Amino acid sequence: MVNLENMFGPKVFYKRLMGLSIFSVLILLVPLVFSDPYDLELLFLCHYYVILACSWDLLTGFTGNVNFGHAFFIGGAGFAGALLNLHFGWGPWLTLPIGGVVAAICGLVVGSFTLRLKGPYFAAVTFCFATLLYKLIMIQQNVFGGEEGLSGIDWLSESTLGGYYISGILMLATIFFLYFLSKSPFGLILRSIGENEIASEGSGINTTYYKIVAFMISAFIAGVGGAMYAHAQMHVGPEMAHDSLSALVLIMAVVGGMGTIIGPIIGAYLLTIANESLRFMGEFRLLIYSGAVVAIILFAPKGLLDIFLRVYRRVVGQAK
Amino acid sequence: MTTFMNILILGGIWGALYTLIAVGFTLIFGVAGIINLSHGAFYMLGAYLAYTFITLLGMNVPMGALIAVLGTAMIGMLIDRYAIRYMRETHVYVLIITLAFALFFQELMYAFYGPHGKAVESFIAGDMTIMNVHVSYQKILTFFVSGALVTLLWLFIKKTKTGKAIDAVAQNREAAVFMGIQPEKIYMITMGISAALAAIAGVLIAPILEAVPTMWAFPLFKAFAVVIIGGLGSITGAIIAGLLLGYAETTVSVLISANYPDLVYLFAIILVLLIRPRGLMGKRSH
Repeated sequence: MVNLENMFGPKVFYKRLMGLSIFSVLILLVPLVFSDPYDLELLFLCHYYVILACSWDLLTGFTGNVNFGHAFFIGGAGFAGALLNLHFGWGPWLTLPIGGVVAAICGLVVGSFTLRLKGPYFAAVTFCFATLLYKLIMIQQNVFGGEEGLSGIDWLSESTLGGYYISGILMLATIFFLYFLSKSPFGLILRSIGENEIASEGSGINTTYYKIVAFMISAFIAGVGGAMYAHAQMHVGPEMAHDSLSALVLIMAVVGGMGTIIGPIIGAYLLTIANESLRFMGEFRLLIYSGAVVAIILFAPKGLLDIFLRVYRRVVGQAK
Repeated sequence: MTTFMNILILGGIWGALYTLIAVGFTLIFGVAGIINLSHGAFYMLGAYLAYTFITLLGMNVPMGALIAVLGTAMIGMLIDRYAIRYMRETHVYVLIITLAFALFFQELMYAFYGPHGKAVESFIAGDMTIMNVHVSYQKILTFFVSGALVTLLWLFIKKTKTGKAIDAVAQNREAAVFMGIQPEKIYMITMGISAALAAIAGVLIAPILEAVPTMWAFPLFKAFAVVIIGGLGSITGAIIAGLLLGYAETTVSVLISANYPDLVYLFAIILVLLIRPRGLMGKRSH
């Protein structure tokens, strides 16, 4: 059960805002300590995945509709941005928001068709749309470059540090936006849909409308993230629309804790860094990684954030 | 005429295989109300265990196949008992834990057997020509075994005591409890049967397609498509939709291009969900 006093009380609100502000300052200061391009690249990836996991969480974590095709928006916007950049020479400052808008329009179209469907059906259709895009990319080689993808896109930024800051600022903007959104009446409505959709409908809420808007916002953010990634890599490939990316984003959000905003951040950072730091394991890296994911989901079904909070409360409780 | 026969025979074989994969998937949904994304992984485990026991350990085919199928069924039941049981009511959780297991099994196979395909020799070597169409005996075997198993499953559910209990839980869980049926036990048995059916499909396919760590995705997508077109939870629907999909894909593949069959099932799912979300034979609730 959601404790409204805990979620919406002014004390908690400002405490968490404080926490987020400290986090943002840390993000801005990190390059002073880790200035190695390799570290910055890794942190860039973390930012990218935080953007994706948080955006996924807005629809699924809040309203409980499992989106299995987040890569549809990521890849779609990535390719839209890449094509606009290659054919019209539009820079990242234009293609990032346009990529987001393209994704949001896709979200509107897909959402208005499918968000009336419940549970597994919605998961199935979102999955199908993502796979359709993937197949189209593979088939329409002259437009999307097939398996090779498209190369030669403009840099996001000349330096690794620039890429770090752009992605970091986009990530912080996403987090703050989602945080305020979750505390707004809109966020409350989404949560009420997640708790009990029929009761929300009974209260006169047009739940489909709210779900579609949430889906569009989620798609927009993922689209900006996808376009950003395309520019940072100077390349888009079909793997950006592949279902393994959808699965990865979903697992990150779940491992951290769905519907909490902070959870997906933890999940994205943890899994991205774990994926890199397990490299010394060689060929067993992915086995250990996926085994750990299974264990976490099994033993902490509400995510790691839940475990952290419980431990924290126990420690604080004993201190008092 | 040859083209037509080609479609008729190959479509039938693929349709039968899709049906075999999909009935298990739809059964566990109909009974326990869960979408089991590990279903494709069970198919993969079937293929890899068949490779291990038949090719690597040199067992004879029926023995190796039996161990592969029973082993997979055990894994399915263990997953149901220890990973799904306590969270059965939470759709999101079940989807995600079963997906995580599928990815874990993929990496497990990758670690053990590497990324390259592992071939199993045909259970019955050779091929035959029916009306100018070459078909290997292995494919014919697949067709008949699939058909027989789906029929057996049907008889099992309608005629045996355990089968009737499964049907009862699927129809109304509370009423079944009052009749003295233990639903948790039924869920576990159903999961075992469902995993075994997927594993049999995997064993049959191992000589036709090679066993690779990523092979679990394809049957899962097909099962999903068949089950959505046929109606989630409906075995009749799965049979009809499995054959329909098999024929539709083969027709597109033979007449248009080998690139497009995958688009067929995706479009079919989207179309069905938009026009008739409960599928051809699905019940209105769910």
